[in-house]
Amino acid sequence: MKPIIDVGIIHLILALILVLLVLAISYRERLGLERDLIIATARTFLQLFLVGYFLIYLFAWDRWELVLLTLIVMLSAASWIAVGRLEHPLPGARWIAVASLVVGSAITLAFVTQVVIQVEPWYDPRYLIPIGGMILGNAMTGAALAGERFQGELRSRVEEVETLLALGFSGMEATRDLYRSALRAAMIPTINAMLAVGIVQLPGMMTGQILSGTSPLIAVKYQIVVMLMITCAVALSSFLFLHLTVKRYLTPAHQLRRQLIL
Amino acid sequence: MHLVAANVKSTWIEYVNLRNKSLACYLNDCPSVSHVDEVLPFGGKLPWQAMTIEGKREPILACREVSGGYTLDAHREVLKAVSFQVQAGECLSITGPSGSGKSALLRLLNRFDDPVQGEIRFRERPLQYYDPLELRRRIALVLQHPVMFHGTVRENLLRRPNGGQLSESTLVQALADVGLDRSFLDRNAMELSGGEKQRLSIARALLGEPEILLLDEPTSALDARSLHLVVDTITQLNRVKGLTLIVVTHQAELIHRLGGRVLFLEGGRIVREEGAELAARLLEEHG
Repeated sequence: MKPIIDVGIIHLILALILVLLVLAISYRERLGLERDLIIATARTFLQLFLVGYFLIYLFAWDRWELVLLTLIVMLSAASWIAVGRLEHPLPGARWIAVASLVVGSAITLAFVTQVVIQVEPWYDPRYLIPIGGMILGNAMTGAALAGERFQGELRSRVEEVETLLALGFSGMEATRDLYRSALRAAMIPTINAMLAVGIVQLPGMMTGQILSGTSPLIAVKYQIVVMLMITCAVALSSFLFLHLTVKRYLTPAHQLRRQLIL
Repeated sequence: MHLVAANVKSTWIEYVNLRNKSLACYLNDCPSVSHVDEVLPFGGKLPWQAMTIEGKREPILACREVSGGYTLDAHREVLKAVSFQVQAGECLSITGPSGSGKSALLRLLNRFDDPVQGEIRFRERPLQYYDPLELRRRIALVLQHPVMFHGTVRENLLRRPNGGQLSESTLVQALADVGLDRSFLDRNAMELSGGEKQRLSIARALLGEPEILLLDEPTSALDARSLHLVVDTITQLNRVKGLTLIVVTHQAELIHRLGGRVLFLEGGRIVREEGAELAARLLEEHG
């Protein structure tokens, strides 16, 4: 097998020519994106190198406490971002996000690493960190999408919900249609991704494995596991997140807290 | 025994006439009249608490010093120490400029919101005493903009908390109560006119057999012809069925036709109370 080609620093800097092209378009068409683009490029370099060095040390130390700590930091960031997407802040949503991401991701991560891949030792950071990252990232997007969609639906269909409440339906019954459509909205992207996978584009992880010399067949098997686990983590986390947030919009007396949405 | 019963009945009729109510309305409100003979031996007291033999009645609904409420535009408490009472079978109109707290007040009466201060009593018990879902069936609120769900009128009428187990004749009766015939049952609810939707949303509330019907601006978005029909419908519910009505409106015609008392709300306070005739005239003159 041929050795992996490392990208030299000089050549990496050459890749910046691609960004210069984008800059040229933005400048010529007066898109005003130059500043954002430069900052974004700088941050891409900085953040990824930091993560790279961090991973080197994490792999070298090889301690389960550090792996767990890293996962917790990733989780906090993910729940922070998920809740930040809500247009109207919802009291207590951060803890709901933490709880649903923990449960949704932990179940999936544990199952995939311990039962399917059978990682040895169980905390091997080479597996747990990247797989945990993929699970958390997707679970975060799913929960955020579900929460955002539910709030949006509630805002635009408030009269429908109040009509049902006025007829004597409970708060959960009155919001069931909205709940369903929010949960569907969160789950559909991953299902669509499974339908389309491999036809136009190879998924990032599989591409990475193939580039670094793994046999395509092994890469494919890993990719299948990844697709299934993402779908599961998204469904679990958005289901839990939504289930717990819906109640926040209602009082025990089945009153809609309109001040939270309007 | 029968003589006594007859006497009691005549006392009622006097009382009814005094209050300018039709007998039909009254009998409907107190359906146990035919059982008077069985009841009288028990110390001359009638079985329902709300009434004594002299005809003195406790209000069906009473607001005492109620503050709070919630409006969309204001994001603050609107009502300030509002007090009023409603008798069973009465028809009360509430009017006032927009933002005066009319709708906010109505939303307190079926516990869509809870007041910050004061107390609301339904049949002598605070609203919190009742299961909120049961309360909303008994004090039914019809919102300003009628919402229809996808499907036929029948499907819309059957969309009820405890499943749609209503007989065809119940549905037809509910439609008749709002002046619609049975051919409406199979029509697409989304394609009805504004006035028809408004009347259908009233019919939907009636299926819960409410004791009080709260109507929020029932005629605000209607053309002249629909307006007359909806006004007819609402007035009939009070006159014929004896239903207690609380109607928020700024429409002089509706107030005039409803009769009864009219509360003027301004800046969250009741600033005036008038009879319907004068109130309607005031509204027409000053808008």
